[in-house]
Amino acid sequence: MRAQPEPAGAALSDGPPGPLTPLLQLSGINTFYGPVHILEDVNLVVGKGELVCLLGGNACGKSTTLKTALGLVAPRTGTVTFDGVDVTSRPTSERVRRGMAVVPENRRLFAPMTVLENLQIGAWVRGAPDPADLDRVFELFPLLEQRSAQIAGTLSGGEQQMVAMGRALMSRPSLMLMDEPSMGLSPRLVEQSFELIETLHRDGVSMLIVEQNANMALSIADRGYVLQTGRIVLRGSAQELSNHDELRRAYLGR
Amino acid sequence: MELFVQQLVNGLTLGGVYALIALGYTLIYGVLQLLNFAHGEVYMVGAFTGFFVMVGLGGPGKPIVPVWLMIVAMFLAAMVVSGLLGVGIERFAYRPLRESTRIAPLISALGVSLFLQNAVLLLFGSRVRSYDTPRYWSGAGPQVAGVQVNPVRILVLVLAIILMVGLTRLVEKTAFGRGMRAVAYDRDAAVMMGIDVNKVIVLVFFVASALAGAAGVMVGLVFFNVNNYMGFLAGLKGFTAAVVGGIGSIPGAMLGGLLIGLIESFTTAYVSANFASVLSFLVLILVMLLKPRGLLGTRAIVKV
Amino acid sequence: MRAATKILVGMMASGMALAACAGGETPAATSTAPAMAGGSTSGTPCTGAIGVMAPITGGAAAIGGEQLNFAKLAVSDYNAKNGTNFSIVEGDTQLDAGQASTVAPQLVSNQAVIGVVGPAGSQEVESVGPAFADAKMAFVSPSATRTSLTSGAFPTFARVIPTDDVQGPTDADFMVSKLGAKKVVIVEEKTSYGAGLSSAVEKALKEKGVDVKRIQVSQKQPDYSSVVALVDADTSVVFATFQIAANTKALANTLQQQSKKAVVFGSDGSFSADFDVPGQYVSSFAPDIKGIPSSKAVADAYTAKYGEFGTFGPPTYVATQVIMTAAAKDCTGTADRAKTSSNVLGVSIPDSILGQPITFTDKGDVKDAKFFIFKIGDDRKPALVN
Repeated sequence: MRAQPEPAGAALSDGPPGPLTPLLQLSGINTFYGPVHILEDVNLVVGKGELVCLLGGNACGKSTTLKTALGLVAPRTGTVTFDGVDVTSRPTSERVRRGMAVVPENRRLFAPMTVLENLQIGAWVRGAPDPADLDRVFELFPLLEQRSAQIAGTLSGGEQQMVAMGRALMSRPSLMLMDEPSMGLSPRLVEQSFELIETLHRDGVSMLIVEQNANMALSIADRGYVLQTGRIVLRGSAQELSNHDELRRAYLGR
Repeated sequence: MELFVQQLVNGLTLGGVYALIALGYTLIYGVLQLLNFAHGEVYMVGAFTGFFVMVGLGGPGKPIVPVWLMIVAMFLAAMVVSGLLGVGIERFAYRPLRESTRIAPLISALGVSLFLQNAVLLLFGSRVRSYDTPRYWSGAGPQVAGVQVNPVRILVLVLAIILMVGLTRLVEKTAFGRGMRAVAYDRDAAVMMGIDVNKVIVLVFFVASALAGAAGVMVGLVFFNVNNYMGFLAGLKGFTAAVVGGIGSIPGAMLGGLLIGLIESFTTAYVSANFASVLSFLVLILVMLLKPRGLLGTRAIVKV
Repeated sequence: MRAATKILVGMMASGMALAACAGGETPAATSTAPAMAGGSTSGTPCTGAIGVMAPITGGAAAIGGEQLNFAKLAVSDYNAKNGTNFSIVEGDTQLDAGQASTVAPQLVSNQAVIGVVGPAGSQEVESVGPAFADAKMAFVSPSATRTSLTSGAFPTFARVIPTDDVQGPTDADFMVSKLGAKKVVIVEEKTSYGAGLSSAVEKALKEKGVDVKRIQVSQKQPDYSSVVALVDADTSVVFATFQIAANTKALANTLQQQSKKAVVFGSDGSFSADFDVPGQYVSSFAPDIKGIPSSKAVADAYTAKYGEFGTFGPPTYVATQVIMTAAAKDCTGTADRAKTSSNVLGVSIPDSILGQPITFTDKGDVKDAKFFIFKIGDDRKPALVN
């Protein structure tokens, strides 16, 4: 099957093929920064247990899409549905409480606090950090256990990535949002990161990953969307997108 | 020698009071990057609250409850009233201006300061009120290095230390303290962690203002006189202490407060009372020139 | 942004409004005062406005508020007794000479104002004297005690209280002869009141061979512990030239806390229910007016309406009476500024509420002004001792 280009002007509610239920749904999102129409008619779905990637070049609106899902940016029209509930007008804190977690662009750790404290902050919405969650994070990232008393701002980029991911896990999210996880990392670290992401995915965490590195993203994703100047121009399974001619030329360099 | 010890005690007591006020400035600056110029008035309202509770309980002449209970009630009432006042100020004078320019809340703060000074004047008149502590708490205190130390000062000093230790524990060890520090460092990232930033800010205001209220009662107990303008100078000194110590740094506020208190005490005794305030502000200028971030101010850690 | 601006403006406006309000007009209480000479010479009630220059707001608002309220009481008493129609115009000087010099022209240009009560501070008198002289505006101060003010420089000035030259020697004499003081510390407030009086007392004490040490404090100082630490064990009297009685009390309390033997002697500015520490002394240019039968009515009326008062209020009552009496003398409907000022020195109030007759020397001082000294008893009330 060939990947479907998004029909112009159509506002379809997209759905994954098969019996998966939608966890996150963005429908008809139009977002503006002042007069600038950043997101135009964006429709996007992440099913339970899926790893969905959102691809595109610089300044195409990928980050804004994430922020819209999280509630950091309010759309002018359109709805955001999470786990069956319309959260479009709900604040971020509530969405996080309902099960979203984010690994922000450039990690955004709390640099003056220790590694442990950063992880503990991640558990804010649970009330108190559960030792079981901490153990799980240390299992996945043994290095963090060693460095737990170290000031987060002094860690290397790759180490900070681990902390950021661990921090997001501490709230036991049902949906993890990742904004350009490969940014600023060496190729080896990028590979390691994506391996970890895949591990988490297999554990059952649904994910929406925004990425410029389409190769890596598609290698672990179930499905993907391609965003261009605020519009979804392509969608389909990872396989379909990988084989798509235009995409291959533009983003995969083949 | 006697003078020196006496001044040391005076300076530490005064320092404890300034430290509590400075802590309020630093806490609020930490989460909002705002210099709350109305903080001195919150302290003044605390002092008045303590006074009226004292009078209501029969003081200073005939307390109807044991003196220790009366003093506890004065502190609790002042801390609660000041705390709530601070929360109200945040809600009505600062929050609506959050999206505005940096200077708008500062001007609002000055307005609130003026408003409170004159509201108290209007409501309670211009007469200076006296806590008149010796009437219900007389008695010489213990001897320290040959000097009789007044027990009220000891209480104030101990209480100030307890409050500072308590605050430090709150900030360093509790989940709420972590949330506070997160909001202070990077508000947007804190939001992404699901932190309700408004709630955190409200609680910070309550704590900061409650500390100021306690400081107000302390000043009443030790220095007796309470009037509607006392917040102006005390607020200025507390702000100075916070900046000298490093605005945003909690240990800095404590160090700054102690420093300013000791400078004032020793200057009054060994130079002249006229120069006490002047010297404090001179120290501010000196520190700003040599160490602009304050004595304990940290280099900004770059967000990665 | 609009909402924010509105809030800001509202905040500033209400701040200003409250500041103005705090010194605002309230209807004055009336009392049965001793009969006053003067009314209107024709059928129409004599009308005129009296400016009251006082520290209505600011650090000395406790003083100014009391002065203003006693002025209001005097006006309503006089109007009730004599059918006149005097009123008050407030001039807030915050005890500051600079501010006084901006208030004076405002009063001068207000044609309704025919005389002024105040200003309170000696420095203020000096700064407004020339302007009032030019405008032929009489001004009678209830509290400026610097002796040089009545040396002739200000022809339209008078005062209803004794000068530093009287209080100084009276107090010094008492300290030496009755308290046996050999070493005295003068704690001096940095105001024109404190400076002048402290010098007068120091001079008088030194003439009697007393060891005098002078320490300056600011009126806003909350903490006297450092000052008290400088008072040594053989100092017998600490003389405080304060205008805020609560400060004198704080000083006395601090001395007690540091177990110093010295007793506090407060100058007339400390005469008030706020300074009620047993065993201390205080002087006043009038006996406790509550103890004078003919003044009791005024004292009670004031207390009922405004609460407690100290030494600054009653002289303001008398000063206001002086202006009104001077104005009403030749009044035909509307009082005249020039006539009022030429009548002031001729005013005679035989039984003023200050317990002594008020007549003036040709320089503007009260003739035979006396000072009274009190000791505060265990009942926390002052009792006359001289």
